[in-house]
Amino acid sequence: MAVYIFKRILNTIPVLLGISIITFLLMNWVPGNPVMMMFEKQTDPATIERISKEMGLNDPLYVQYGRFLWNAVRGDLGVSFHTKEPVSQAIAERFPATVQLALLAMAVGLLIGLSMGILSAVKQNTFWDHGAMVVALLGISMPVFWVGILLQIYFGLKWKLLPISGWYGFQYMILPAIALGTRYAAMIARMTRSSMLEVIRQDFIRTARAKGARERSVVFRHALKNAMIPVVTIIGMQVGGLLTGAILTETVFGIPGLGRLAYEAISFRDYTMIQGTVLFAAVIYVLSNLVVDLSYAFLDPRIRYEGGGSR
Amino acid sequence: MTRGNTADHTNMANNMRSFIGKKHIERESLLRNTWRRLLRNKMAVVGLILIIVLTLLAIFAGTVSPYDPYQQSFREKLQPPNAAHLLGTDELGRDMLSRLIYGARISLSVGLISQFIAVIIGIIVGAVAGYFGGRVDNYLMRLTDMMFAFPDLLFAMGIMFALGPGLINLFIALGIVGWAGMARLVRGQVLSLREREFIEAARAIGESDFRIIMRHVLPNCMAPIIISVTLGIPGAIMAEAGLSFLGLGAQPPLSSWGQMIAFGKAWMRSAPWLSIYPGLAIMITVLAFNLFGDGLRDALDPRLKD
Repeated sequence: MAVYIFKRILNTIPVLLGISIITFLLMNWVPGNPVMMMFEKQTDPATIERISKEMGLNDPLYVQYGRFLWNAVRGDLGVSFHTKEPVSQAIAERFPATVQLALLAMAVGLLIGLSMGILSAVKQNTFWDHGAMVVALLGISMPVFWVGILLQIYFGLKWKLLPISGWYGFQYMILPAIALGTRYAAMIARMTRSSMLEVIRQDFIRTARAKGARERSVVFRHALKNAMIPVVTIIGMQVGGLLTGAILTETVFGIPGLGRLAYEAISFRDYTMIQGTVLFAAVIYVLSNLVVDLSYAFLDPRIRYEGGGSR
Repeated sequence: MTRGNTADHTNMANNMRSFIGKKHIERESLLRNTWRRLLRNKMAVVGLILIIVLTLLAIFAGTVSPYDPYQQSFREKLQPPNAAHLLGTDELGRDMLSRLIYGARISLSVGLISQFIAVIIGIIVGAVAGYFGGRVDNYLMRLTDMMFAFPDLLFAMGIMFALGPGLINLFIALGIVGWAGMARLVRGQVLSLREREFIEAARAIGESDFRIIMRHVLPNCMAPIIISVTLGIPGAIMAEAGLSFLGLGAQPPLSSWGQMIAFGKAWMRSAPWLSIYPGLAIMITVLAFNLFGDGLRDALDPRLKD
């Protein structure tokens, strides 16, 4: 177990290095001198040259990358070209809203998705099953931002039940969480259904029924527990989906989160801010995948005992 | 080498060739079986019909559209759906239905072309990694892992920011974002095929690595590739819609559905149809590909079916 955890953690180091290289190169690829983007066009060439030199933009690429990496490791992601505030500070201020939104969306997704999936599997090939799966299929086919706008139009403007923008309290979080959670719920529902159906056919479920266990106990204690591993995979894989979905949801609902920060940075061509948010989001994504992988080891003893030899 | 030995070798080579040839016959009947199974799946047929209709609309947009999608008419601006404009008009008085029909061109072309780019890169990387193994495999798979480390839309946003908005860049960005998944899939398939007898047979009769990969390995992993592409198209369409919604996709006056929703959002109160209909168009298109893709997966690999 310890070997597996150690190996898995060690594996993330080259990946983290890789994403820092890709992010760095991506931003180097942007045409134009970043100093010129930073100041207005009026600045004379001599000043631009002097500042470029001061910022080390004339150094060879690997020197620039080394500096970028060294600073990033110490939590320094540079200063925003647009607002002039430190990028890491802006991220720290905006990140909590994104986490709140993502957690609420995940809760919505799990609650609706698991119930729909279990219902479908238990009542296979009935009206309930077909109905739930049609809803789930529609759910994965709707763009997050469109669901958000529909919710705003109906729940906010027409029926005046909930506020449509801002981030001032729980009632402001309901519509965005549903918007972001819908797709998630649909995916979890589909996965739970097929995973449950697979488990339900296995011998130990028949044994549980044969020994006279109540249906509720068979479904929840025996089947669901064993059907959860693929579902956990989906939950983990979707952390990235939640992060990017948050960009769109935050834009629709005017939520001051990381996604909106990235969106604003793009509209202002705020080079350092984009670099910082992309890098930060990718690191969060990698780390959350690490947590999911490690959680398998706890959920599935087979992984634990293999000691990670297969990975 | 004696004469008899040469004859033996020729015989053996012929046997091997007929063994490999059998694979082709098997493949043909597989195709027919798949098609039959697919047609039995009602949802898949609905998806297929929708895809055909959408494709025809996109191709013949010029003939089918009731109006010029770029024609502005300030007297007719923000009209709700009516007899003259079935889906109403936008803030510049342009006919929504015509703009939606033209928008199908962007969505479908982005879906297809970006997946095509992803497949080409993915197949090359995956096949090379899986077939040669060892250090090559290790390096290529580490690169793939890195691509996976980025949430895809965010990565596409970064690429679009670097390349600048526009349709061609959209193809490239979504192609770059999508290849890694394909590479992993192809590698897995190739690894499992590499040790099979017919590949050994092909190697034994002295076929080159390139020829073995192209003629024997790849055709035998086509099923999962086709499924993955079909199910990748709706993802690319959705990503295009998201990027266009954020202003990073196709630029005006081109009418992309995502961008129409973004512009329509400002008129949510007085003209909600401006954002509702383009979203419906995205949903129907994505749904069509999902239905067809699910059906195709069940038809190509019945074991996966519940």
